[in-house]
Amino acid sequence: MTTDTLILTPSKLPQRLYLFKSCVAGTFYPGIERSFRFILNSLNVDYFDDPNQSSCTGFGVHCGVVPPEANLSLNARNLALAYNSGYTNVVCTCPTSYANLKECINELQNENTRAAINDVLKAVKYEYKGGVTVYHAAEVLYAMKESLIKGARLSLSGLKIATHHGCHYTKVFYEEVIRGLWEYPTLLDDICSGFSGTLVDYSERSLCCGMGFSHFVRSSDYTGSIGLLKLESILAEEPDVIVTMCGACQTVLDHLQKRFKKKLERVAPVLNISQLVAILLGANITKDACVQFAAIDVLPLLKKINVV
Amino acid sequence: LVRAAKFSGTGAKSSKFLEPLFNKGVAVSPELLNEGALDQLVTLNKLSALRAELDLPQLDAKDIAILAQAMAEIRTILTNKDAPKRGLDNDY
Repeated sequence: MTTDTLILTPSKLPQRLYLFKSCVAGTFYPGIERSFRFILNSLNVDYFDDPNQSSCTGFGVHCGVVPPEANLSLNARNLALAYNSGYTNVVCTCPTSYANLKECINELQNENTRAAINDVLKAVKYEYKGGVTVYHAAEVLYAMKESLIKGARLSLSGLKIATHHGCHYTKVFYEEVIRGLWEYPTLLDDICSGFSGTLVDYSERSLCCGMGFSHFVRSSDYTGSIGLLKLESILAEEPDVIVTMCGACQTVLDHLQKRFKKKLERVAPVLNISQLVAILLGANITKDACVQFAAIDVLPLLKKINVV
Repeated sequence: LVRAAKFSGTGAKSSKFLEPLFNKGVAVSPELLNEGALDQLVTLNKLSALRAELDLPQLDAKDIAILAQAMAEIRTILTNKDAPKRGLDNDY
């Protein structure tokens, strides 16, 4: 089978995408994947929403409760599902899935590892053959930027936007960050600026949101202290919205603002880039973007962009 | 949080997810389990209500719709990879 690798420049629409769903995004912000589907459907992008896909187990791996063999075996199955479907451009809505799948692909390049894992997959009649490429949904949105801007009913004109890219996108495969540098990624900024948004810079731009997975499970006060540092830095620039590309970062940055409301002088709603773009394209704010799941009220932002 | 206190299994909410950590001797605060890390951050009742309005499965993982064949494959893989006490602990 030949693979049709995506060209991640805003020149042609990507096709034959394998939508890789996220546990965290699907749990806390179902609007992330609904919005991404809305965008793909709006542009008639051919994608496969495979019900057989399993969790990438990234959360469990980073907490130290899922062993690498189990992680590798399950993701070899996931990658084989994508390869067998013919939709070999795997698009993750979650940076942890993105990094985890890419790490698994790297591990599976070792002949001995691949043979051992394929021996496991034999029992369920799969074989990992490679031939699959992994992307993050934000990269695909960037690739579709020109079409998205053309199809947008609304703009971000006059709005101040702060972005947070997520460590598992920028700091694991740091040489593969497609816009900006890993220390200063601009992927989300470049998408938002296309819709006439004004990007704001902030001092803790490179800092983790605080989630850290094992930190969150073992010591949520650590998550709180890092998250607060991050939020204070962002909110000092008075953004109208904080844009992320990660369900876990979004959970932390959104809900921590609610938790620390008394410590913060102001708050800002948090949206995933897919939710924001879908809203600009005319998606239903409750059924598609599901903004009602936000801890910090999104309504003031929606009024500013004339959605309501 | 009293991070040094090791989970004793009494008085704290049982967590299958964290059992492998306990088995490795990792200290997890009983307070964290009583409150729940997620409960501290997210209002789970609100989340459950919102999910119900959208006809989405509830947060109890056993309610999540997984194709029977896919689940059988996942279980077989984990069992084959000498993981009955490892990966299988986490597939709920």
